[in-house]
Formats: sequence, C-alpha cells, structure tokens
Amino acid sequence: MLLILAKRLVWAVPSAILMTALLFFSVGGLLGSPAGLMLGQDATAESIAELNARLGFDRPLVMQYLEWMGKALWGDLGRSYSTHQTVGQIVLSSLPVTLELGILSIVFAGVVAIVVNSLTFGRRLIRPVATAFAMVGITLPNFALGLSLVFIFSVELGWFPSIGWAPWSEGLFTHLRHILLPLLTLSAYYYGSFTLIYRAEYDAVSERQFVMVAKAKGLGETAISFRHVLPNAILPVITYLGLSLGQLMGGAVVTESLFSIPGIGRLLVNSILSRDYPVMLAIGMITITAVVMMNAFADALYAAANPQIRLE
Amino acid sequence: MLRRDLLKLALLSSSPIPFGGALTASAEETPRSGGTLVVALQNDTKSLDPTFRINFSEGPPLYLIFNTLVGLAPDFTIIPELAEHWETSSDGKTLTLFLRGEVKFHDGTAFDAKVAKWNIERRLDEKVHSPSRPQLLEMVASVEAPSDATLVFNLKSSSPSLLGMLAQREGCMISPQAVEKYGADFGQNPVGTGPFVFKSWTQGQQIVVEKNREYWEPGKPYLDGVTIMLMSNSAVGIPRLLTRELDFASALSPLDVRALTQARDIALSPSPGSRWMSLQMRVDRPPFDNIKLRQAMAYAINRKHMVDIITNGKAPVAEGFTPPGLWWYDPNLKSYPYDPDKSKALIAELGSLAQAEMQLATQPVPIYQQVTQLAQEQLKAVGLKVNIVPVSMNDWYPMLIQGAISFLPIRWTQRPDPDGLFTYLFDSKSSGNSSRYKNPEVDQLLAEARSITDQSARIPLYFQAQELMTHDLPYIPLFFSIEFAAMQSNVRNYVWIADEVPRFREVWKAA
Repeated sequence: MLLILAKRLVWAVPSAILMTALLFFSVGGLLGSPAGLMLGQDATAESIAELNARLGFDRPLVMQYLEWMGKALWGDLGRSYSTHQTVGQIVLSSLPVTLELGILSIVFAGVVAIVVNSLTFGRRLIRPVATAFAMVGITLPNFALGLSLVFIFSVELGWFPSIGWAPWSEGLFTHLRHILLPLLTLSAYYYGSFTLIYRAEYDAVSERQFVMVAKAKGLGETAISFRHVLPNAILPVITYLGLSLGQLMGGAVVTESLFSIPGIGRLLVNSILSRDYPVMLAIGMITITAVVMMNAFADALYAAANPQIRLE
Repeated sequence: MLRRDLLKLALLSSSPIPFGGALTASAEETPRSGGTLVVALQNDTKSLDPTFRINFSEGPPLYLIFNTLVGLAPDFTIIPELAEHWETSSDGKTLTLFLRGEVKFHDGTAFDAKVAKWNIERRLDEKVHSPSRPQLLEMVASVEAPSDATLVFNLKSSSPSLLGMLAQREGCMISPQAVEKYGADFGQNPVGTGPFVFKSWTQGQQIVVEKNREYWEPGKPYLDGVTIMLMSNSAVGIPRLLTRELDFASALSPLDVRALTQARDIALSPSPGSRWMSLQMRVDRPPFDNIKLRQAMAYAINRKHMVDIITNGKAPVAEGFTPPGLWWYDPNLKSYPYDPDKSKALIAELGSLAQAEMQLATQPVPIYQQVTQLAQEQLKAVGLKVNIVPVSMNDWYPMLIQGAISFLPIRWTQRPDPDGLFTYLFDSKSSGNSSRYKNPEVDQLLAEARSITDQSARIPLYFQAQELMTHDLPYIPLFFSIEFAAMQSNVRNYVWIADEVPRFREVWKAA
C-alpha cells in the first residue's frame, strides 16, 4: 500500500509543474502584469512602467516562469506581491483550516449517507426523508443553504454562532460549535451525491445470490445490511470520496466567505484577481499535490476494502 | 436653495431610530471604560504599515494603532494630534509643526521630531517605494528637526493640501526601531503611538488590537480592545449584527438597511454623504471630446430618479463636486438640469457625431451596476447608443489610468483641502487627471488659490474654478452617496468624519 502512495507522489511532481505552468501562462497572458493593482489609487502610467521594469514584469512570460520555478524547487516560494509576507507563512496558516473543513465535511457526509441508507428498520419513513435531504443537498446552491442555516440557527434560534471558525486554542467545544454550520453547508451536496451512488449500488448488491443465501441462513436484516451488503456497496463511494476530497483541497470559496473562515479558497481567488503570482502558483502546486495524494489514499482504501484488488 | 440643502443635511444627520440607541453621548452620560468592540471591515488590509497603504478602505486599523501628525474634525478642520500647533510662513513655503512631548511608541521608544523626520524621509525614499512618494515629492523639498519638538517642512511651493495629508496616511508615525527589528515584516507587526496596540492578525479573518495602557491622552481609549473582522459583503454582516457577534458594520447601502430598521437593538447612522458619484469621460477622445455631446448627455440624466431608485431617495443630488458642509461648497452652483427635450435638440444638431456607440464600463459592485444601468436607460431614451462593458474590480483603476476605459461611473472621497482633489483631478498637468481635462483658466485659478494662505481669499477662486469645471463637463455629477453604519444600541460616540473612513478611537460601550 505504501508503495502505491509513494509511486503516486512521484507523479505529483510533473503534474504540479504542468499545472502551475498552465495557471501562470493563462492568467499572466490574459490578465497581464500586477503592477497596476499593486499601485492601486496611486497608479500613473509612469509608476506602472517603473514597477514593471523593477520587478521584471516586462520580461517574456517563459522567463518569469522559469525564474519562479528555479527558486521554488529550492524551497524559496517568494513573497506575496500584496502583503509582502513570505508565501510559506501565508499558505501555512490557511491550509490546515481548509484541510480540516474539507476532510470533516466529506467524512461526515460519507458516514451519514452510508449509515442512513443502510438502516433496515423504519425504512418506509427514513428512505423518503433521506431522499428529500439528498435532493435538497444537490440542488440547493451552497450559499443559499448557508444563509438559510445562519438565518434559522444563528439569528432566529441563537443556537450556533454565524462566524464559522474559532481557533483550537479556545477549546474543543467552542471550535466544534463554530464549525458546525459551515460543515453542514459544505457536506450537504456530498451527502446528496454519496446517497445516490451508494443507494444504487446497495440495491444492485442486494439482488446478488450471496445475500439470498445469507437470508436463507437466517441472518437478521441489520446484520446482512451492515456486514455483507455494505462492504460491497461501498466501493464506488470510496472512489468518489477520493475525488471529492481532492476537489475540496482547492478550498470552498463561497462557504469560506460566508462564514469568514480563513481558508485557502478565498486566498486562491484573491490571488488570481490581484495577480499575486507567488501566492497563486504556490497554492496551485499544493492543490495538485493534495489532489494526487487524496486519490492515492482513496485507491489504497479501495484496495483495503476489496481484497480482490489486492491480489492483482 | 441653501435652506433646502441645509434642511436635507439636518434630516440626514439626525438619528432616525428612536429606540434606545443614542448616536452621540448625551450630556448626562459619562463614558464608561471597558468592553471590546467587534467591527466589520469589507476589504482585507494588505499591510498594516501605513507607508504602503493604497486604499482608503484600509484606514480603520491604522487609525487605531497609529497617531497622525495632525487630526481631522468631522468637517475636515485640522485639529491637533501629535502636533499641538503649527505655523505656515507668509509665502507658504515653510510649514512648522510644534510636537507634543511625552509620547512613546508601543515598544517603549520615544517619539520626537527626529523620528517624525525619519518617517517623512522614509516615504520620500526612492528605495522604499512608498505609494505616498510621488505626491509628497511634488511638495516637499526637505524636512528638518531643529529641536526635539519642532518639525520643519521646506516646501517647493505653497501647498495647502499638505496639512490634510499629514492627517491621513502620510502623517502616520511608525517606530524606527520596530522597522529595524522586523524589516519587511513590519507590515505584520506594526508599532505606533496610537490608542491601541497590535495583538494579532489572522489573514482573511480578523485583526485584534488591545488598549494601550500608556496612551498619552489620559483616560483614553475607553475600550479594552477592538476586533476587526472581515465581512465579505453585507449579506454576511447583517445576520451577525442580529446575533450580536458584531457590534458595528459600515458600508451598508440604504437598501441593505431596510432589514435593520425594525430591529430593536440596532442603531443606524447615515454617513455625511460626502463621497461624490459621477460619470467620467475621456474628454480628449471622440465622441466625448465634443462639448455639445457631453451637454446632451448631462441634460438626459435624471439624477433625482437615480437617487430615488439607488438610495431610496436618501442621497443628496450633486450639482457640483463638493457636498454641503465643506467650506468650499458653493450653494449657488448648478449643473445641467434634467431636460430631455434640450438633449434631443442637441443630438439632432450633432447628427452623425451622436450616433457612435459609447462603451460604458462597470464593476461588479452593486452601486456602480445600478448607476450604469440607469444611465444607459436614460441616455438611450434620448437616442444615444450605450453599451455596458463589465470590468473586474481589480482591473478597474489600472485600466482607467492606462486609458483602456473612457466612460465610467466613479466615486471620489473628499480630501481635507480643496486643492487636494481639484488639482489631482482637474489640473492639466496632474498625473491623476484621468479625464484629460485641459482648461488653462482653471489651471491658473487653482495655482493662485494654492499660493494663498488666507482661506476667505481662496473661496472666490475655488468658486470660479468649480463653475468652469461644472460647465465644461469632464464629469457629469450625479449624487453624493450615502452609506449607513449599523451598530448595537450600546455603542456610543461614533462620529463620521467627512472622508467616510470609520474611526473608533473615541467610541465607548454602555453597559
């Protein structure tokens, strides 16, 4: 298993180079130099030209990219054009936040979807409700859901704060209280899609012969569901889980803005809009590495769940 | 006319909410010390080093952590702050500031004239690349500190707007020792002399400052601390006010606050309505280089209608560039009234010249979008062709400066001295004159007004200049935008300054 992970990680390097190059050339080519933005209200034609010359923005794009790549390979990611902080500092403070929110949301959505759809008692009541939630999760845009949750649970009921992040230093309970609403907002969509995938597979697996054999042997419904059907039906969900985790590594921009969460999503969007290339490229690099790793992890999990794969 | 405006001003500045929330401390209430104020800021600051501040919106945390050489009263009168009093020589070329003693930075080092000199020279230093440099360089020849309490500016020519600049970002005094210690990271570790000491900054979320227990003004500040939270837009901030997670939010449009007028514990405070919204044109390029076309456009715009729709009727219509309340406001100045028939007549006269399609740029900011849509509608109604072109917020100003957009709505903040904004926008040699307006008579009037120090003698000159500029129409004036600040009813003593940048130094919280 570790071998799989290691091999995948090696592939991450050329992927990262390709992706950052694409990002740099498309943004740089289409949007141009950041000089005007860096100068803001004090920009004049002369000061823009002077800044371009001083920071080398008037050189060909290929040269600028190679210079960045050269330094980056040695670990020097440079300084942000907007705040002058080192890129490492900026990214390291936001990355754990996004990782936590992303991983918690996917795991939460996955666990709930799988458990709820495997339950055998009260099927007639639970199934339609679970389906309804799944539909809402998929169709309702997450800013609408987020605002509704804030309105109901923060403003009207006052049960949860509307600011979605409190540092761990303030205690576990406080932290969880703050992160609950953003968690629900973000996981709603994934709960919906996991439900659909899982349920389709679950129904298909339930038709198979070994399930009939288990019933004939006299095993209880719940036991059949959780010990025999679930491990088989879960496989496509695992693959999709890996993909979703990768998706969220780019950050959930809307949710982060709505709940004022200092994550990497907003950082990425702002860095593209303000042409803050050092930050943008660093985040691009990290995102693709994370995506590759998440997919590798999903594959490893798949192999763990399905012994048939391991033997190959 | 004068009375009507004064009445409007009085209506606008009176407290509209009768419940509990007093906007200024009433005579019987004594300020209470203690409490933390949580305020919402719309744009994340780039750096807490005032040397590098570029946008007005980044002001609030700076005014808490730093003091400026002089201060501003709500109507832009210059008041003492780090300087107790000042003198300008009769030829206007020497400005002397007499600084107060016993002022310390948050790191314990002393503030004196030598430190002030270092601060100014830092902004003038080529290698530092401060955005303040170009404007300061035009005015300041050298700075001297003949004694610990005297700071002398030797100016290249009379510059009445310098004092106003020293009340804003150019006058923020930073600690030289801290700059030496932190170097390029000073922006994340600011050290000033202000009423609050920097505590922490979580990028993308909040800035926390705490009371400076050794502040030079006794008994102040009242608050124990201020937390500045990032609020990406008002839809996010308003629920937080209602849940009491925020004490104060500003930059709320008149449409945003409709949800809050019924809230029991929220007080609303309208801004002084000084930011000037107008339609700007590049008057050196066709089709806008034709004055008759510009006049036709001005006659076609119904400003009252715009104000009714965009601001619920609350904003004052602009006849010129200056809102009432500032000493260079001319109550008798009128711009072109709404007269679609005159507009159509001019257009008929112009014939094919008025057939060109005009590209009106807009940003994804609600007020600009509303202005452009209404302007397009009104201009189309008289037969002109207008196409709206969206431009991203970040590209807006650079594209304007580089001449890529010729017709756009734009909003300007007033500056403490008329020379500030007028020279910047209308002097033919100014680098900020993005409309490329050229009128030698205006240049001469502005130059003359700049060289006199007697305010009453400057007034007629500015009146004349404003009349010419209003007639020539490099900009079509629209209205003075109003925004609202909403706060919990126990927040006291919040006062708007005419530049509409929120300042919280004097604020206190009732129990």
